[in-house]
Amino acid sequence: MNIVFNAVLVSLLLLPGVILRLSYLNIAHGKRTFKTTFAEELFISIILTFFIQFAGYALVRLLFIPVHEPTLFLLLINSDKTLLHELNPRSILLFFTYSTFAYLVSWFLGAWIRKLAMKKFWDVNYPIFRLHNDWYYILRGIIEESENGKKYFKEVKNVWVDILVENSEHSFIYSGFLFEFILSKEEGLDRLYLSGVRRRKFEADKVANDFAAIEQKDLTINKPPNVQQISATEEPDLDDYEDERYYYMPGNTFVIPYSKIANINIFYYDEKDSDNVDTI
Amino acid sequence: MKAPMSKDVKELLSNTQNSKKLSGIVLRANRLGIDPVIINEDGKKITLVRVSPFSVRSIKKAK
Repeated sequence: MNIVFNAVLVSLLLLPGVILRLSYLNIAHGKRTFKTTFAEELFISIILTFFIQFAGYALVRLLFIPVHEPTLFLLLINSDKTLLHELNPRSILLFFTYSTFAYLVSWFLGAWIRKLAMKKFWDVNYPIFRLHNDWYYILRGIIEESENGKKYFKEVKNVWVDILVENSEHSFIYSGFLFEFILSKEEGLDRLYLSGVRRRKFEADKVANDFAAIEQKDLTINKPPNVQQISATEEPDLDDYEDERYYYMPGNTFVIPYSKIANINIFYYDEKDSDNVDTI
Repeated sequence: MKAPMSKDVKELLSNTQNSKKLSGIVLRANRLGIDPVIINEDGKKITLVRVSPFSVRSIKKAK
């Protein structure tokens, strides 16, 4: 027997698990963004293949389609005794029909399991169901833990980030709304896209603390600030609230490469209708 | 990948002047430890309720 034929046969039999895994990881915008070894992926695919082929075999037997196991076994071990068994066109056609069916089922099963995993938060709780690297879960929302110890992914409405960027002369803090991010397999994160960005020197921190203390002093404890004080359209003009330490970046999109980032401070915002609320 | 962003914030950010005001409001509110309030294009008042501040400094250091 030709050893190439044997290798092709083994590959065809292992393919359903590989297809299921590929389909599961076939996410939007995405290549795989977390690190796994070839051995890990192979192990997962073999386990999946075992279950799929076992279910397929059970189904074929249930449908009373004849399966000649000894021939398959001899083909798998590359035995010359295979020549004694009859490999007719019908059996070959049946094998390829079964394989095609198994591949299609594996693909749709992978996509279905992915949706289920995201809905049930399996990707957050179990490493084998993981879909993205840690940055995805940090930048898309918050992972919280329920009373029974299971983690779940809490969606948020807006994400505000303060990013410290260091260069040889100064450190700058860029603050703005995050609207897009690109993950990478090696670094985890490739770059961030911000909008409404303001920049200031990191050294101005101390001044900020003093400024905040003064401002806090003005807000009496018994009299919380009225929402109108910080609304977008009410008088006094918003220019009064502008911080002179900051420079407003006039572009629509500001891109920060991950390689330049020292650290990130993140604020997650939900939203509520405040029309009936007078004070915070 | 798209980060979460509400329709109202997206609209305000699309206009340079509003975008500038919005970032000023949020910065000031963060400094004071209060929730920023915005008024959307329809004149409706909306509070951006801070869910939870989260620093990821340690995550990058650990990589």
